[in-house]
Amino acid sequence: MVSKRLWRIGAAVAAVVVVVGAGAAMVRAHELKTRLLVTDPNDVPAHPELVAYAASLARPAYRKDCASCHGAKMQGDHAKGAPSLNDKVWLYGSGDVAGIEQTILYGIRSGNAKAHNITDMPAFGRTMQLSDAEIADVETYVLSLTRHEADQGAVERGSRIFQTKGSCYDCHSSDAKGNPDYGAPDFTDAEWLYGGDPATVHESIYDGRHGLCPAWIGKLKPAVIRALAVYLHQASFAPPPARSQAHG
Amino acid sequence: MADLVEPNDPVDHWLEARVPFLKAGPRRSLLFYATGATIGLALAGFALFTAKGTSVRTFPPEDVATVNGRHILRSDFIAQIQVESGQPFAQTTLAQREKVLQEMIDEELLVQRGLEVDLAASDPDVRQAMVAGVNLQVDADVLAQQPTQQQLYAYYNQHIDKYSSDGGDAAARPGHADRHRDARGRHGARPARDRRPEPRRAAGADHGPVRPDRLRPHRPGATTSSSRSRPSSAT
Repeated sequence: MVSKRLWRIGAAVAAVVVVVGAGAAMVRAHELKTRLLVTDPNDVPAHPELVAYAASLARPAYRKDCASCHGAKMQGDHAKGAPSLNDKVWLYGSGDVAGIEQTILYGIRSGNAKAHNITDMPAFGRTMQLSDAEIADVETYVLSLTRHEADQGAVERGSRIFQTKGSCYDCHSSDAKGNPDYGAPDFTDAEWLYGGDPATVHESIYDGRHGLCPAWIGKLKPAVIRALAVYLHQASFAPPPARSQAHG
Repeated sequence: MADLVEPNDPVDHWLEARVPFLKAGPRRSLLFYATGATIGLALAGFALFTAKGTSVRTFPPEDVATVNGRHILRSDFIAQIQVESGQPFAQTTLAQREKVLQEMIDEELLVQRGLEVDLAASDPDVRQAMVAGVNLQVDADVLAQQPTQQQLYAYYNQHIDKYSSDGGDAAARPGHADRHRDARGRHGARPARDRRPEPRRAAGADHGPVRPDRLRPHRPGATTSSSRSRPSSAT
Protein backbone atom coordinates (compact mmCIF):
# COMPACT_ATOMS: atom_id res chain seq x y z
CA MET A 1 0.00 0.00 0.00
CA VAL A 2 2.78 2.35 0.97
CA SER A 3 4.84 1.43 -2.07
CA LYS A 4 1.87 2.07 -4.32
CA ARG A 5 1.45 5.49 -2.83
CA LEU A 6 5.16 6.21 -3.24
CA TRP A 7 4.97 5.11 -6.82
CA ARG A 8 2.13 7.51 -7.47
CA ILE A 9 3.95 10.39 -5.82
CA GLY A 10 7.10 9.60 -7.74
CA ALA A 11 5.23 9.49 -11.01
CA ALA A 12 3.54 12.78 -10.27
CA VAL A 13 6.86 14.43 -9.33
CA ALA A 14 8.49 13.05 -12.46
CA ALA A 15 5.66 14.40 -14.59
CA VAL A 16 5.98 17.83 -13.00
CA VAL A 17 9.76 17.80 -13.48
CA VAL A 18 9.37 16.84 -17.13
CA VAL A 19 6.78 19.53 -17.73
CA VAL A 20 8.73 22.22 -15.90
CA GLY A 21 11.96 21.19 -17.60
CA ALA A 22 10.39 21.20 -21.04
CA GLY A 23 8.73 24.53 -20.34
CA ALA A 24 11.96 26.04 -19.09
CA ALA A 25 13.82 24.79 -22.14
CA MET A 26 11.17 26.29 -24.41
CA VAL A 27 11.26 29.59 -22.57
CA ARG A 28 15.05 29.65 -22.75
CA ALA A 29 15.04 28.84 -26.46
CA HIS A 30 12.40 31.48 -27.07
CA GLU A 31 14.39 34.04 -25.13
CA LEU A 32 17.58 33.21 -27.03
CA LYS A 33 15.78 33.37 -30.35
CA THR A 34 14.32 36.75 -29.49
CA ARG A 35 17.68 38.07 -28.34
CA LEU A 36 19.35 36.72 -31.45
CA LEU A 37 16.87 38.60 -33.62
CA VAL A 38 16.70 41.89 -31.74
CA THR A 39 20.43 42.27 -31.12
CA ASP A 40 22.40 44.32 -33.61
CA PRO A 41 23.65 41.49 -35.86
CA ASN A 42 27.21 42.76 -35.72
CA ASP A 43 27.15 42.60 -31.92
CA VAL A 44 26.00 38.99 -31.75
CA PRO A 45 29.55 37.53 -31.98
CA ALA A 46 30.33 39.27 -28.70
CA HIS A 47 27.72 37.13 -26.92
CA PRO A 48 28.93 33.53 -26.62
CA GLU A 49 25.54 32.17 -25.60
CA LEU A 50 23.96 33.67 -28.72
CA VAL A 51 26.78 32.35 -30.90
CA ALA A 52 26.26 28.87 -29.47
CA TYR A 53 22.51 29.08 -29.96
CA ALA A 54 22.98 30.36 -33.51
CA ALA A 55 25.28 27.46 -34.29
CA SER A 56 22.69 24.99 -33.02
CA LEU A 57 20.10 26.50 -35.36
CA ALA A 58 22.43 26.99 -38.30
CA ARG A 59 24.22 23.64 -38.51
CA PRO A 60 21.26 21.60 -39.75
CA ALA A 61 20.16 24.41 -42.07
CA TYR A 62 23.65 24.67 -43.54
CA ARG A 63 23.82 20.92 -44.11
CA LYS A 64 20.40 20.93 -45.76
CA ASP A 65 20.50 24.08 -47.88
CA CYS A 66 24.05 25.39 -48.25
CA ALA A 67 26.44 22.45 -48.25
CA SER A 68 25.39 21.25 -51.70
CA CYS A 69 27.16 24.24 -53.25
CA HIS A 70 29.55 25.53 -50.60
CA GLY A 71 30.65 22.11 -49.39
CA ALA A 72 30.16 20.23 -46.15
CA LYS A 73 33.24 21.93 -44.72
CA MET A 74 32.50 25.30 -46.30
CA GLN A 75 35.40 24.77 -48.65
CA GLY A 76 33.48 26.03 -51.68
CA ASP A 77 33.34 24.55 -55.15
CA HIS A 78 35.29 26.00 -58.07
CA ALA A 79 33.14 24.12 -60.59
CA LYS A 80 30.04 25.95 -59.36
CA GLY A 81 31.75 29.22 -58.59
CA ALA A 82 30.65 28.80 -54.99
CA PRO A 83 33.11 30.56 -52.71
CA SER A 84 34.63 28.99 -49.66
CA LEU A 85 33.03 30.40 -46.53
CA ASN A 86 35.69 29.60 -43.99
CA ASP A 87 38.35 32.04 -45.11
CA LYS A 88 38.39 35.76 -44.45
CA VAL A 89 37.68 36.70 -48.05
CA TRP A 90 34.20 38.02 -48.80
CA LEU A 91 33.09 39.02 -52.27
CA TYR A 92 30.30 41.29 -51.06
CA GLY A 93 30.78 43.63 -48.14
CA SER A 94 33.29 43.16 -45.38
CA GLY A 95 31.97 39.87 -44.06
CA ASP A 96 30.16 41.39 -41.11
CA VAL A 97 27.09 39.56 -39.85
CA ALA A 98 24.65 42.16 -41.17
CA GLY A 99 26.14 41.95 -44.65
CA ILE A 100 26.14 38.17 -44.69
CA GLU A 101 22.54 38.17 -43.54
CA GLN A 102 21.51 40.44 -46.41
CA THR A 103 23.20 38.10 -48.86
CA ILE A 104 21.41 35.08 -47.42
CA LEU A 105 18.09 36.90 -47.35
CA TYR A 106 18.12 38.15 -50.92
CA GLY A 107 20.83 36.17 -52.66
CA ILE A 108 23.12 37.00 -55.54
CA ARG A 109 21.50 37.44 -58.97
CA SER A 110 18.64 35.45 -57.49
CA GLY A 111 15.83 37.28 -59.21
CA ASN A 112 14.92 39.05 -55.99
CA ALA A 113 14.91 42.80 -56.54
CA LYS A 114 17.07 43.29 -53.44
CA ALA A 115 19.67 40.72 -54.45
CA HIS A 116 23.27 41.61 -55.19
CA ASN A 117 22.93 42.13 -58.90
CA ILE A 118 24.96 45.12 -59.94
CA THR A 119 26.98 43.58 -62.69
CA ASP A 120 28.23 40.41 -64.32
CA MET A 121 31.66 39.45 -65.46
CA PRO A 122 31.41 40.22 -69.19
CA ALA A 123 32.35 37.71 -71.87
CA PHE A 124 35.23 39.70 -73.35
CA GLY A 125 36.24 37.00 -75.79
CA ARG A 126 32.87 35.83 -76.95
CA THR A 127 31.71 39.38 -77.64
CA MET A 128 35.02 40.18 -79.34
CA GLN A 129 35.80 43.06 -77.08
CA LEU A 130 39.26 41.62 -76.61
CA SER A 131 41.27 39.47 -78.97
CA ASP A 132 42.67 36.12 -77.97
CA ALA A 133 46.13 37.64 -77.59
CA GLU A 134 44.79 40.44 -75.40
CA ILE A 135 42.92 37.97 -73.23
CA ALA A 136 46.07 35.93 -72.84
CA ASP A 137 47.96 39.06 -71.76
CA VAL A 138 45.30 40.02 -69.23
CA GLU A 139 45.30 36.47 -67.93
CA THR A 140 49.07 36.58 -67.52
CA TYR A 141 48.85 39.92 -65.73
CA VAL A 142 46.14 38.71 -63.36
CA LEU A 143 48.11 35.59 -62.52
CA SER A 144 51.28 37.62 -62.02
CA LEU A 145 49.66 39.33 -59.05
CA THR A 146 49.92 36.18 -56.98
CA ARG A 147 52.77 34.28 -58.57
CA HIS A 148 55.84 34.78 -60.74
CA GLU A 149 55.22 35.14 -64.43
CA ALA A 150 58.25 34.88 -66.68
CA ASP A 151 56.82 36.83 -69.58
CA GLN A 152 57.11 40.35 -68.27
CA GLY A 153 56.14 41.75 -71.64
CA ALA A 154 52.79 39.98 -71.41
CA VAL A 155 52.39 41.18 -67.84
CA GLU A 156 52.91 44.78 -68.90
CA ARG A 157 50.62 44.49 -71.89
CA GLY A 158 47.98 42.82 -69.75
CA SER A 159 48.24 45.51 -67.11
CA ARG A 160 47.71 48.16 -69.77
CA ILE A 161 44.62 46.41 -71.12
CA PHE A 162 43.36 45.92 -67.57
CA GLN A 163 43.59 49.67 -66.96
CA THR A 164 42.39 50.88 -70.35
CA LYS A 165 40.74 48.93 -73.16
CA GLY A 166 39.40 46.10 -71.07
CA SER A 167 38.21 48.51 -68.36
CA CYS A 168 38.72 45.70 -65.88
CA TYR A 169 39.70 48.32 -63.32
CA ASP A 170 36.14 49.55 -63.38
CA CYS A 171 34.96 46.69 -61.20
CA HIS A 172 38.19 45.10 -59.98
CA SER A 173 39.78 48.48 -59.10
CA SER A 174 43.00 49.95 -60.44
CA ASP A 175 45.00 48.07 -57.83
CA ALA A 176 43.19 44.83 -58.74
CA LYS A 177 42.01 44.44 -55.16
CA GLY A 178 38.41 44.07 -56.24
CA ASN A 179 35.32 45.90 -55.10
CA PRO A 180 33.03 44.46 -52.43
CA ASP A 181 30.18 46.70 -53.57
CA TYR A 182 30.09 44.94 -56.93
CA GLY A 183 31.22 41.51 -55.77
CA ALA A 184 34.31 41.87 -57.95
CA PRO A 185 37.04 39.53 -56.68
CA ASP A 186 40.43 40.61 -55.43
CA PHE A 187 43.21 39.28 -57.67
CA THR A 188 45.98 39.96 -55.17
CA ASP A 189 44.99 37.25 -52.73
CA ALA A 190 45.32 33.53 -53.24
CA GLU A 191 41.59 32.88 -53.28
CA TRP A 192 39.92 32.01 -56.57
CA LEU A 193 36.21 31.72 -57.10
CA TYR A 194 36.42 29.49 -60.15
CA GLY A 195 40.02 28.36 -59.90
CA GLY A 196 43.32 30.14 -60.43
CA ASP A 197 44.82 27.95 -63.13
CA PRO A 198 45.50 29.66 -66.47
CA ALA A 199 42.80 27.82 -68.38
CA THR A 200 40.12 28.76 -65.87
CA VAL A 201 41.19 32.39 -65.68
CA HIS A 202 41.18 32.49 -69.47
CA GLU A 203 37.70 30.99 -69.51
CA SER A 204 36.46 33.61 -67.04
CA ILE A 205 37.69 36.41 -69.29
CA TYR A 206 36.58 34.81 -72.54
CA ASP A 207 33.13 33.53 -71.51
CA GLY A 208 32.32 35.76 -68.55
CA ARG A 209 30.75 34.65 -65.28
CA HIS A 210 27.32 34.86 -63.74
CA GLY A 211 27.41 33.38 -60.25
CA LEU A 212 24.16 32.74 -58.43
CA CYS A 213 23.02 32.32 -54.86
CA PRO A 214 19.32 31.83 -54.09
CA ALA A 215 17.31 34.21 -51.94
CA TRP A 216 16.34 32.43 -48.75
CA ILE A 217 13.78 34.91 -47.48
CA GLY A 218 10.47 33.10 -47.21
CA LYS A 219 12.20 29.73 -47.44
CA LEU A 220 14.03 29.81 -44.12
CA LYS A 221 12.78 31.37 -40.91
CA PRO A 222 14.27 34.77 -40.01
CA ALA A 223 15.93 33.31 -36.92
CA VAL A 224 17.59 30.60 -39.00
CA ILE A 225 18.83 33.15 -41.52
CA ARG A 226 20.28 35.30 -38.75
CA ALA A 227 21.79 32.17 -37.17
CA LEU A 228 23.38 31.19 -40.48
CA ALA A 229 24.88 34.66 -40.83
CA VAL A 230 26.39 34.41 -37.37
CA TYR A 231 27.56 30.86 -38.01
CA LEU A 232 29.31 31.78 -41.26
CA HIS A 233 30.85 34.86 -39.71
CA GLN A 234 32.24 32.73 -36.93
CA ALA A 235 33.59 30.20 -39.41
CA SER A 236 35.33 33.02 -41.21
CA PHE A 237 36.64 35.17 -38.40
CA ALA A 238 36.60 33.30 -35.09
CA PRO A 239 38.72 33.16 -33.11
CA PRO A 240 38.79 35.85 -31.95
CA PRO A 241 35.10 36.75 -32.22
CA ALA A 242 35.75 40.32 -33.23
CA ARG A 243 34.24 42.61 -35.81
CA SER A 244 37.40 42.65 -37.86
CA GLN A 245 37.34 44.00 -41.39
CA ALA A 246 38.46 41.90 -44.29
CA HIS A 247 38.87 42.80 -47.89
CA GLY A 248 36.22 41.72 -50.30
CA MET B 1 -22.99 -3.56 -9.05
CA ALA B 2 -21.25 -3.87 -12.38
CA ASP B 3 -17.44 -3.86 -12.71
CA LEU B 4 -15.96 -0.68 -14.12
CA VAL B 5 -13.49 -2.67 -16.16
CA GLU B 6 -14.90 -5.22 -18.53
CA PRO B 7 -12.73 -8.33 -17.95
CA ASN B 8 -13.23 -9.64 -21.46
CA ASP B 9 -12.46 -6.44 -23.27
CA PRO B 10 -10.37 -7.49 -26.34
CA VAL B 11 -8.36 -4.27 -26.21
CA ASP B 12 -7.36 -5.04 -22.63
CA HIS B 13 -6.35 -8.53 -23.60
CA TRP B 14 -4.29 -7.24 -26.51
CA LEU B 15 -2.59 -4.60 -24.38
CA GLU B 16 -1.90 -6.87 -21.42
CA ALA B 17 -0.50 -9.58 -23.65
CA ARG B 18 2.11 -7.21 -25.00
CA VAL B 19 2.73 -4.84 -22.11
CA PRO B 20 2.06 -6.62 -18.81
CA PHE B 21 2.91 -3.41 -17.01
CA LEU B 22 -0.25 -1.85 -18.43
CA LYS B 23 -2.60 -4.31 -16.79
CA ALA B 24 -6.04 -2.84 -16.30
CA GLY B 25 -6.33 -1.14 -12.96
CA PRO B 26 -5.64 2.04 -11.04
CA ARG B 27 -1.94 2.05 -12.00
CA ARG B 28 -2.75 2.15 -15.68
CA SER B 29 -5.35 4.83 -15.14
CA LEU B 30 -2.87 6.95 -13.25
CA LEU B 31 -0.23 6.46 -15.92
CA PHE B 32 -2.61 7.50 -18.67
CA TYR B 33 -3.73 10.43 -16.58
CA ALA B 34 -0.15 11.57 -15.96
CA THR B 35 0.76 11.18 -19.62
CA GLY B 36 -2.27 13.18 -20.71
CA ALA B 37 -1.57 15.87 -18.16
CA THR B 38 2.06 16.12 -19.26
CA ILE B 39 1.17 16.45 -22.91
CA GLY B 40 -1.56 18.95 -22.11
CA LEU B 41 0.70 21.09 -19.95
CA ALA B 42 3.47 20.98 -22.54
CA LEU B 43 1.08 22.11 -25.26
CA ALA B 44 -0.31 24.83 -23.05
CA GLY B 45 3.18 26.06 -22.18
CA PHE B 46 4.24 26.03 -25.82
CA ALA B 47 1.16 27.96 -26.86
CA LEU B 48 1.59 30.43 -24.03
CA PHE B 49 5.03 31.47 -25.15
CA THR B 50 4.81 31.16 -28.89
CA ALA B 51 1.27 31.74 -30.13
CA LYS B 52 0.82 35.07 -31.85
CA GLY B 53 -2.22 36.03 -29.87
CA THR B 54 -0.57 35.49 -26.51
CA SER B 55 2.99 36.40 -27.40
CA VAL B 56 4.73 38.72 -24.98
CA ARG B 57 5.72 40.81 -28.00
CA THR B 58 3.35 42.78 -30.12
CA PHE B 59 5.16 41.85 -33.31
CA PRO B 60 7.76 39.28 -34.30
CA PRO B 61 11.26 40.01 -33.06
CA GLU B 62 12.66 39.85 -36.59
CA ASP B 63 10.59 42.90 -37.50
CA VAL B 64 11.24 46.46 -36.54
CA ALA B 65 7.69 47.44 -37.45
CA THR B 66 4.60 46.12 -39.11
CA VAL B 67 2.52 48.35 -41.35
CA ASN B 68 -1.01 47.06 -41.75
CA GLY B 69 0.31 43.55 -41.39
CA ARG B 70 3.25 44.04 -43.73
CA HIS B 71 6.59 43.42 -42.10
CA ILE B 72 9.62 45.67 -42.11
CA LEU B 73 12.56 43.41 -41.39
CA ARG B 74 15.00 44.54 -38.73
CA SER B 75 17.90 43.49 -40.94
CA ASP B 76 16.57 45.67 -43.79
CA PHE B 77 16.23 48.54 -41.36
CA ILE B 78 19.83 48.14 -40.22
CA ALA B 79 21.09 47.88 -43.79
CA GLN B 80 19.14 50.98 -44.76
CA ILE B 81 20.56 53.02 -41.90
CA GLN B 82 24.08 51.97 -42.80
CA VAL B 83 23.55 52.91 -46.44
CA GLU B 84 22.05 56.30 -45.58
CA SER B 85 24.43 57.25 -42.79
CA GLY B 86 27.58 55.55 -44.01
CA GLN B 87 28.19 54.38 -40.44
CA PRO B 88 27.88 51.06 -38.66
CA PHE B 89 24.48 50.65 -37.05
CA ALA B 90 25.94 50.80 -33.55
CA GLN B 91 27.28 54.30 -34.21
CA THR B 92 24.05 55.77 -35.49
CA THR B 93 22.00 58.07 -33.30
CA LEU B 94 18.45 57.56 -32.14
CA ALA B 95 17.36 60.48 -34.31
CA GLN B 96 18.90 58.85 -37.39
CA ARG B 97 17.19 55.58 -36.62
CA GLU B 98 13.83 57.22 -36.09
CA LYS B 99 14.17 59.15 -39.33
CA VAL B 100 15.02 56.06 -41.36
CA LEU B 101 12.29 54.00 -39.75
CA GLN B 102 9.74 56.72 -40.43
CA GLU B 103 10.87 56.85 -44.06
CA MET B 104 10.49 53.10 -44.38
CA ILE B 105 7.03 53.17 -42.81
CA ASP B 106 5.98 56.06 -45.06
CA GLU B 107 7.23 54.20 -48.10
CA GLU B 108 5.34 51.08 -47.10
CA LEU B 109 2.17 53.11 -46.59
CA LEU B 110 2.56 54.70 -50.00
CA VAL B 111 3.17 51.32 -51.61
CA GLN B 112 0.07 49.96 -49.94
CA ARG B 113 -1.90 52.93 -51.19
CA GLY B 114 -0.53 52.29 -54.64
CA LEU B 115 -1.75 48.72 -54.48
CA GLU B 116 -5.09 49.94 -53.18
CA VAL B 117 -5.66 52.21 -56.17
CA ASP B 118 -4.22 49.52 -58.45
CA LEU B 119 -1.46 51.60 -59.96
CA ALA B 120 -0.25 48.54 -61.80
CA ALA B 121 -3.37 48.72 -63.96
CA SER B 122 -2.80 52.27 -65.08
CA ASP B 123 0.78 53.44 -64.56
CA PRO B 124 3.10 52.33 -67.37
CA ASP B 125 6.19 52.79 -65.19
CA VAL B 126 4.78 50.53 -62.49
CA ARG B 127 3.82 47.96 -65.09
CA GLN B 128 7.24 48.14 -66.67
CA ALA B 129 8.92 47.72 -63.30
CA MET B 130 6.74 44.71 -62.52
CA VAL B 131 7.45 43.14 -65.89
CA ALA B 132 11.15 43.72 -65.39
CA GLY B 133 11.03 42.24 -61.91
CA VAL B 134 9.26 39.10 -63.05
CA ASN B 135 11.63 38.73 -66.00
CA LEU B 136 14.52 38.99 -63.59
CA GLN B 137 13.08 36.11 -61.61
CA VAL B 138 12.48 34.05 -64.73
CA ASP B 139 16.07 34.62 -65.84
CA ALA B 140 17.37 33.62 -62.44
CA ASP B 141 15.24 30.49 -62.42
CA VAL B 142 16.55 29.49 -65.83
CA LEU B 143 20.16 30.12 -64.87
CA ALA B 144 19.77 28.36 -61.54
CA GLN B 145 19.03 25.16 -63.45
CA GLN B 146 22.60 25.19 -64.78
CA PRO B 147 21.58 24.85 -68.44
CA THR B 148 23.81 23.38 -71.08
CA GLN B 149 25.47 25.53 -73.69
CA GLN B 150 22.87 24.50 -76.27
CA GLN B 151 20.02 25.39 -73.94
CA LEU B 152 21.62 28.76 -73.30
CA TYR B 153 21.85 29.45 -77.02
CA ALA B 154 18.23 28.41 -77.47
CA TYR B 155 17.09 30.68 -74.62
CA TYR B 156 19.15 33.53 -75.99
CA ASN B 157 17.68 33.15 -79.44
CA GLN B 158 14.15 33.02 -78.07
CA HIS B 159 14.66 36.16 -76.01
CA ILE B 160 17.09 37.97 -78.23
CA ASP B 161 15.30 41.29 -77.92
CA LYS B 162 16.03 41.32 -74.21
CA TYR B 163 19.75 41.22 -74.86
CA SER B 164 19.90 44.00 -77.42
CA SER B 165 19.90 47.57 -76.24
CA ASP B 166 21.12 50.98 -77.17
CA GLY B 167 23.97 50.55 -74.74
CA GLY B 168 22.60 53.10 -72.32
CA ASP B 169 23.35 53.06 -68.65
CA ALA B 170 22.06 50.00 -66.87
CA ALA B 171 20.28 52.15 -64.32
CA ALA B 172 18.09 53.51 -67.07
CA ARG B 173 17.20 50.13 -68.50
CA PRO B 174 14.41 48.00 -67.15
CA GLY B 175 15.49 44.62 -65.95
CA HIS B 176 18.84 45.79 -64.73
CA ALA B 177 19.53 46.30 -61.08
CA ASP B 178 20.94 49.70 -60.31
CA ARG B 179 24.47 49.67 -59.03
CA HIS B 180 23.49 52.22 -56.41
CA ARG B 181 20.35 50.70 -55.07
CA ASP B 182 19.67 51.01 -51.38
CA ALA B 183 18.44 48.37 -48.95
CA ARG B 184 14.85 48.97 -49.95
CA GLY B 185 15.69 48.39 -53.56
CA ARG B 186 15.35 52.09 -54.36
CA HIS B 187 17.57 53.77 -56.85
CA GLY B 188 19.90 56.64 -56.27
CA ALA B 189 21.79 55.82 -53.10
CA ARG B 190 25.49 55.14 -53.42
CA PRO B 191 27.31 53.17 -50.74
CA ALA B 192 29.08 55.69 -48.61
CA ARG B 193 32.17 53.55 -48.36
CA ASP B 194 32.50 53.48 -52.12
CA ARG B 195 34.61 56.50 -52.91
CA ARG B 196 35.88 55.16 -56.17
CA PRO B 197 35.09 56.92 -59.44
CA GLU B 198 31.81 56.08 -61.09
CA PRO B 199 32.30 52.97 -63.24
CA ARG B 200 32.07 53.59 -66.92
CA ARG B 201 29.31 52.17 -69.03
CA ALA B 202 31.64 49.68 -70.64
CA ALA B 203 32.12 47.79 -67.42
CA GLY B 204 30.29 44.81 -66.11
CA ALA B 205 26.79 44.24 -67.36
CA ASP B 206 26.64 47.64 -68.96
CA HIS B 207 28.18 46.72 -72.25
CA GLY B 208 26.51 47.85 -75.39
CA PRO B 209 24.45 45.68 -77.65
CA VAL B 210 25.65 42.15 -78.16
CA ARG B 211 25.04 40.91 -81.67
CA PRO B 212 24.65 37.16 -81.81
CA ASP B 213 26.09 37.06 -85.30
CA ARG B 214 29.26 38.53 -83.91
CA LEU B 215 29.52 36.10 -81.05
CA ARG B 216 32.33 33.66 -81.15
CA PRO B 217 31.44 30.05 -80.68
CA HIS B 218 32.22 28.33 -77.46
CA ARG B 219 35.86 27.34 -77.29
CA PRO B 220 35.99 23.57 -77.42
CA GLY B 221 39.29 22.74 -75.79
CA ALA B 222 40.61 26.22 -76.35
CA THR B 223 43.96 26.95 -74.84
CA THR B 224 46.11 30.01 -74.66
CA SER B 225 49.79 30.51 -75.09
CA SER B 226 50.13 30.87 -71.37
CA SER B 227 47.92 27.93 -70.53
CA ARG B 228 49.79 25.79 -72.97
CA SER B 229 53.11 26.69 -71.50
CA ARG B 230 52.19 26.27 -67.88
CA PRO B 231 50.75 23.45 -65.87
CA SER B 232 47.60 24.26 -63.96
CA SER B 233 48.31 25.46 -60.51
CA ALA B 234 46.48 24.28 -57.49
CA THR B 235 43.84 26.70 -56.38
